[in-house]
Amino acid sequence: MTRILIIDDEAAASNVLRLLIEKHIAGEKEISVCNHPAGAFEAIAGFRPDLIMLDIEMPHLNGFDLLNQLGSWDFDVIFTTAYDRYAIKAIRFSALDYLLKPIDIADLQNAVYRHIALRGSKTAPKEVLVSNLMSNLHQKDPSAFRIALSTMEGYYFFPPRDIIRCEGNDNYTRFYLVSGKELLVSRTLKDFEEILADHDFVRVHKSHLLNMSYVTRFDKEGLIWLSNGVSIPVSRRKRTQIVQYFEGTA
Amino acid sequence: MKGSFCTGAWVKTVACLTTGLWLLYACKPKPSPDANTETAAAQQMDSLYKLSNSNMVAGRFETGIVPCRQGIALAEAHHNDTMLVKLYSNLELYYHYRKPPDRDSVAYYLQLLLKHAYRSGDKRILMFALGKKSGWFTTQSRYDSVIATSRQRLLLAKELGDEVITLETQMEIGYAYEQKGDDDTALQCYNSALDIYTSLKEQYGRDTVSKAVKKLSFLYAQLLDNFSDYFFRQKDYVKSLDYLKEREASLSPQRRAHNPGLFISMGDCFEMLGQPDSAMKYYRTALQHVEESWYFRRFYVIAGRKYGALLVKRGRVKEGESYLAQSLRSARESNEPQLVVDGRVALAESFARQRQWRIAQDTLFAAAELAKKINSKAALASVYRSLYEIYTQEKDYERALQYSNLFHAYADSITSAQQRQTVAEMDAKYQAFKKSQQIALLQKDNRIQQLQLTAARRLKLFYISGGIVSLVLLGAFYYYRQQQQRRRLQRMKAELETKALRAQMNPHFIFNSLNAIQELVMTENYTASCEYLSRFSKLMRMVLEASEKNFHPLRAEIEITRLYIELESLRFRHLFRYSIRLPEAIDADSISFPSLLLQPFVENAIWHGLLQKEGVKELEVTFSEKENRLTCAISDNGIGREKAQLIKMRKLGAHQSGSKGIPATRERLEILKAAGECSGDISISDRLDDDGHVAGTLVEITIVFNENSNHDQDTYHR
Repeated sequence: MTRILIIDDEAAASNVLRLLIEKHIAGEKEISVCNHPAGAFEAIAGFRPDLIMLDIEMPHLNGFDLLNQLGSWDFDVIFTTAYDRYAIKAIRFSALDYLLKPIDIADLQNAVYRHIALRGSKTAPKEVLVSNLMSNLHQKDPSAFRIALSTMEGYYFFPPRDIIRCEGNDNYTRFYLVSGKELLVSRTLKDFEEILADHDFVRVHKSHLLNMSYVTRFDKEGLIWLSNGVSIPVSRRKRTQIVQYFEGTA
Repeated sequence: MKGSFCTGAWVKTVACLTTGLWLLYACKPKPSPDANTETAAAQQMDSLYKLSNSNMVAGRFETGIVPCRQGIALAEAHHNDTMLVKLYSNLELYYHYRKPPDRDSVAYYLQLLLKHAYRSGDKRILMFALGKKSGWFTTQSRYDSVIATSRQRLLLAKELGDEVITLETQMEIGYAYEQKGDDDTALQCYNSALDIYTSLKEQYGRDTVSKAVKKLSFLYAQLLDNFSDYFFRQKDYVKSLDYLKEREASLSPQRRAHNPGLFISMGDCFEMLGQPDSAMKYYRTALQHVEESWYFRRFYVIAGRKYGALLVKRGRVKEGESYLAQSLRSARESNEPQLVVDGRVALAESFARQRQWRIAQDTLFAAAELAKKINSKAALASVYRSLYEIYTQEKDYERALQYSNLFHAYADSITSAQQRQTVAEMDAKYQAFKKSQQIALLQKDNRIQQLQLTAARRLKLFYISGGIVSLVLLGAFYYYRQQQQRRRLQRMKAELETKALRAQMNPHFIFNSLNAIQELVMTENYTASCEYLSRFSKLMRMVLEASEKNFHPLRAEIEITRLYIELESLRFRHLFRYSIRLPEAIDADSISFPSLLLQPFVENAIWHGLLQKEGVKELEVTFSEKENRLTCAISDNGIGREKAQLIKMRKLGAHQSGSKGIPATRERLEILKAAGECSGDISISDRLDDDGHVAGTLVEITIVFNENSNHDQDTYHR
């Protein structure tokens, strides 16, 4: 039994979400709808949801504010939004799920089923993810944001400056940290390329994403040398882009 | 020394090559009727040969050798001797000009070539092969063999009645005698060559196009060179120069670049006549006209050497010596010992001038060794003379005398009284021939004068028209620049405008509307969903249309505003009331209004004023007109600016997603004002209730139309 709470100020939006879940999500579930953000606290306390579908853009109190005011979370969150680049960026950075309106059925199924599948496992406590999102949202300085990395042994949170480079391998990405630690995360390098794009990370090769602040040298053979002594090949197509990058910062 | 001493050998090589080509085209192997495959193979061989030959002539030896080798394999398989001769000749050429030249291979392929030529039984082919052979002996300075081979060839040519080849062969034999120092016989040969030329010239008459005539005039030019050489050796430099000038006159302007040897010879004459300035001028001309090809390299060597020597003599030692050294380097590369000897002598003379006796002597001894090896009397004479001069300067009179004797011994063998007699005879003959040409020349002169007159007239016309054209061009350029600048400004403006417009229709609204439609579909509320969808698409269409223009009718602007409010009202289940008031007096169809100006303000009123508020929510849009001022008032009874701002500030993660619509609108009004279209003003104020509390926001947008501005809806349409 999964208890799902939909929080959206627009009745139409919450209605569509409820109908879609009823129709397209298999398994036992109980759905409750809350159209007034102000009343959300009572709804959460009374309904005790496993999963909240939370609209970000609401008058009075937006989705982030609502979570912030709750203080503690023993439920999963899937954010919903029509269009909000900044919010989406923050959510992806914190390894949380979101759905774009109008809702796509496949996306909805992916997100909800993933939640259901993870509920039983040890890595379940998503509160840490939400709490990381909250602390990121409170940060005025983007360089202090902490990226959430989900690994086999649990979640890790690092500011991007602690990451030297990422190496992609099919659906996995290996992180090499300043501390010398290595982490294997089950998301594609392309995901991280998008997430880390604002933090001076550049995809220099099909399977290499580098934190450019650790680059010491770009040699004539087309290798990039990092401060930890490792050299990374630059793909032929990226060379001009890399040269331009260095010229731009010089 | 005279520049064209060795020109003959080189000219001959190329002449052989081209003659060969010409000859062999004339005698393609006849296809045997019984074997079609033979014909096909012959055709293939022929095309391979042609491909190879064209590359070789152009100096692309490495490219040319590939089809040549393929052709040889094919010809050997078919036992085609004629074809083999042709192909071997190319192979021989390749080894001759390769770096470094492979003399053994050259000799080997020549032998093969001759063998197949004899075997083919074709006399023309044999004649061609003998020409190749004598050419080879010439490059080896084996003049006795040259004479023997060429005599054989001469007999064949006479038998076949080929007078052009007869003429060429006579000249070759003459050249060989000349090189042997037997000037008497050489002159006899040249005499008979001139006889043949005179008769052939009459025979061909006015024909100037055919290949034979071209070849003939080529040989004539060579003959003139030979004459001039003689007079040069006779120390009759004026006469020698006359012959050269005659040759220069016969050149077409396009051919000048291909005759650096001529300019070198002219330079020689001027040098001997004591006019070093003119001499240097001609050497320089030669240097400038030398093409970067293997064939002309020797001219480059000679011209460079002479120019360098003259520079040294005139005190520009450093400059001169660099020319000399460069020339000697090229001489070594060119694979001609005679050139190396001359280069060394010139360099030694330069050293001697700077009193570096030992280096000068060593250089000369090395040159003498080389000269003895190639059995060149002239070269030895020049080396000995230089040695004599150096020892004289060094005051070593004993050795000076020794070399003086040696020099004179060689120099005397070159010129003798008997030869002088022959020369006189030849000169008389030449003068007679020249007279017969004079009439033609006079006619030519007349024509030239006419042409020159026309040319002068044309030049004047050219200057005048050139001046006009350049003025016009300058004007056009200036105008074009102005236009370009204006266009750039306009484009900048247009870009700014579209950017502002794009920012106006909030993506939030678009996706939320779509979401609302999704809900209506999900709840099977088809009538409503249809209605919603059609209104939404109508609004989108109008926005798209409006975003291409700066102005559209006020009617359209009102319609967009109405549709937008309606859709939002529908979405929020009629959460707020709204009204749009347009007085009858306002002609909404004829007034043009800045497009999409109002929507951001309305959106702001709904989202930040009304939706945050509890209770009755009202939105009013009112238009009014006063003279040429149109005012649109957007009034809401929402929470007011201050509170809205506070809420906005307080929201988490909202500090980057603030509305851009209103600043963009202000910017746009500024642009319109700058463009002189209209001026606009936006005033935002709080609405107060009776108690003086804030009870909403009032936005007043006033557009003042310029009296003279007559903006059609598309005034600034891109």
